[in-house]
Amino acid sequence: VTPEAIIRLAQLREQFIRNAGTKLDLIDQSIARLEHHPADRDLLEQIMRMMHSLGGIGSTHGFPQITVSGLAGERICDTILAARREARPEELGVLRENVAAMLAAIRGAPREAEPLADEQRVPSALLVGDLDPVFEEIISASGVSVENVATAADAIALAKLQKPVLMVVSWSLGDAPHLLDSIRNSAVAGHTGLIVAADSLDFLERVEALRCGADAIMERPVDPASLAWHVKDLLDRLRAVAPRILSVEDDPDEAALLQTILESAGYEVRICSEPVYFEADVHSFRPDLILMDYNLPGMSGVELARILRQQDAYATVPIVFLTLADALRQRVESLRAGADDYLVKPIQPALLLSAVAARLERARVLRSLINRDGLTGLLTHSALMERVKISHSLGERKNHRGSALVMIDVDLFKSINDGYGHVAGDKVLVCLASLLRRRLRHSDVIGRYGGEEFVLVLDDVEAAEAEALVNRLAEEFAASSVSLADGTAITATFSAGIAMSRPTRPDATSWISAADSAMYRAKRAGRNRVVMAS
Amino acid sequence: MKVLIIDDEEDVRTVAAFSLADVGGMDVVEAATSAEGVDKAAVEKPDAILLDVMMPGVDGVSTLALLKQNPDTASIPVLFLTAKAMPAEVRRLIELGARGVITKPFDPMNLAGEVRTLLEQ
Repeated sequence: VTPEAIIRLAQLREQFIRNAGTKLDLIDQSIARLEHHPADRDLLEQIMRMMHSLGGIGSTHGFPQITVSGLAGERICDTILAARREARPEELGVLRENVAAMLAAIRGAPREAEPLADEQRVPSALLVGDLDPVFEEIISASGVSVENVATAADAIALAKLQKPVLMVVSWSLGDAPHLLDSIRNSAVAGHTGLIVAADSLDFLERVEALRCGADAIMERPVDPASLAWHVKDLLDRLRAVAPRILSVEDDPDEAALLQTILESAGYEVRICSEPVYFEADVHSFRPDLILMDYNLPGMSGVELARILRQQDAYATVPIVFLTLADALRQRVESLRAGADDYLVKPIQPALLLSAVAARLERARVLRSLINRDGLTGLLTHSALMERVKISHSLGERKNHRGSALVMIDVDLFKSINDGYGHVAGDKVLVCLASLLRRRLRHSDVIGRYGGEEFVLVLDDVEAAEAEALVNRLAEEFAASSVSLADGTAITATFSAGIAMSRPTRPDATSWISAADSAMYRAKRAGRNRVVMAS
Repeated sequence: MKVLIIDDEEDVRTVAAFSLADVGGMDVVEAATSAEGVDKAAVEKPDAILLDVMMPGVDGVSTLALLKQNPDTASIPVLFLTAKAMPAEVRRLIELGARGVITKPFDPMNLAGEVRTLLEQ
């Protein structure tokens, strides 16, 4: 599918929205006339045709409610015509309700079409405005397909559908700051690396670009090496998950200490206390680094390291040995077996962390530190996705009551930002985040999915329990208020969709999208409510 | 591949034409009425016809009969477009001689693929 095709489809959708408004007005007028002439078959047929026409295409443009109401209206007209009788007042009432539902769908629906599902997407980059050819060369060299668009409006339309991994925006484009801002505030936020390209920027312009959400600024003449570094860094960061460390340690106290230190730095840690389980742990946990105790029961760390190094898949996993002081022989042996580094026991936390950090690639270290969203302190999108995947696989255990995925979206968030400023909007997000943290169990996953969207994963719950909990959260959030610097108190509500883990939702993506569409139903039903996906 | 779309709804024709041409890379001919469709089928000799069931005047089912009566168009596979996709209705349309049935509203990104799949069957 070409970018032109997607833009054309967005235009067709806009056109449909305009025409649908006119048609609905016409239907409304015809119903009013039918009230006075209930036996007028031409009028009824006219209404039926218009209902049919709206129903037949509504979902095509992302308006399922229009299809449902349009086809329902068509059926009512069809029934009356087939029975060769007058339209009854209650039937006219139902027709009116259907018209109202369709109008609400058009007015209330998100202005942009639903984005494509993840599996349909190839990583793509959007180049917006007049840019040096070097951008296209370097970015396509990194395995990302590149598309050029001329205007900010096209870029926004395309970005929502394609969720590009990278966007390069020419600062000379008239509304570049606005474009960056709207990308940062859209569902694409957190998925898309933003690079600003400019002739030259003064200090204040740089600050503005960064404030608008630019991840990197490239000035002319563009240095290809520096651009390539930024592209790689951004792509790595977007794909990031917390690095996993497997600690092979038989002493429980020592293991607990290592685990505490490493987890505090954002690493995911698994302890292997018995060498016989080493291989199984490596396969299931896929560690990014292994901390190996030299002295283990039955087998030595050196032997385990040799076994690991024989397998191609693990030939490059860094291994850091923990040895006793002054044990020169141990160090030599461990290095020979393929160790990357060794640390002397007793472990000094700072030394352990710096050694581990040095052994993990620089980009991955950065990733672990930005694992939490700066504003809300919740899991970032990438960390969240990893946790959702894990919970999804846990949902298949026996004697497990199920997991609930909750998609929460702050209602009318844009109007809070527009009406009170972004600081107020940020405060609302922080307020919701702290409510979620206070009210949920420590084991529950809480993350910021994007802009004003949050995801919860509640493990081992019944559907009714999850629904009751989220309803309580909604009530509490609606009742709490955020006070601004000038003393104004603002309140906000959220809409939420819940999806339980089920065999019919075979992967994390389908699980999320089930919760997402339930959330949209909550929005369409009038917001400030919770909808359980069927 | 050339496809003739016969549908009185301009909105549906536009999106279907977009889906088949821009997404599916097919040649598209459009007709807004049954009569126009029957004429264009004979002249353009499309590889397939996408035919709306419910049209004012001559509807889709009668249009199919007209196409089947003319030796020039009798062998062109016809795919019905309908919003009433009940199993019984689909069976009836197939028994009348349609190659397949596509339900409205369709997904603009998948329509071309659906057409191809039905034609290959």
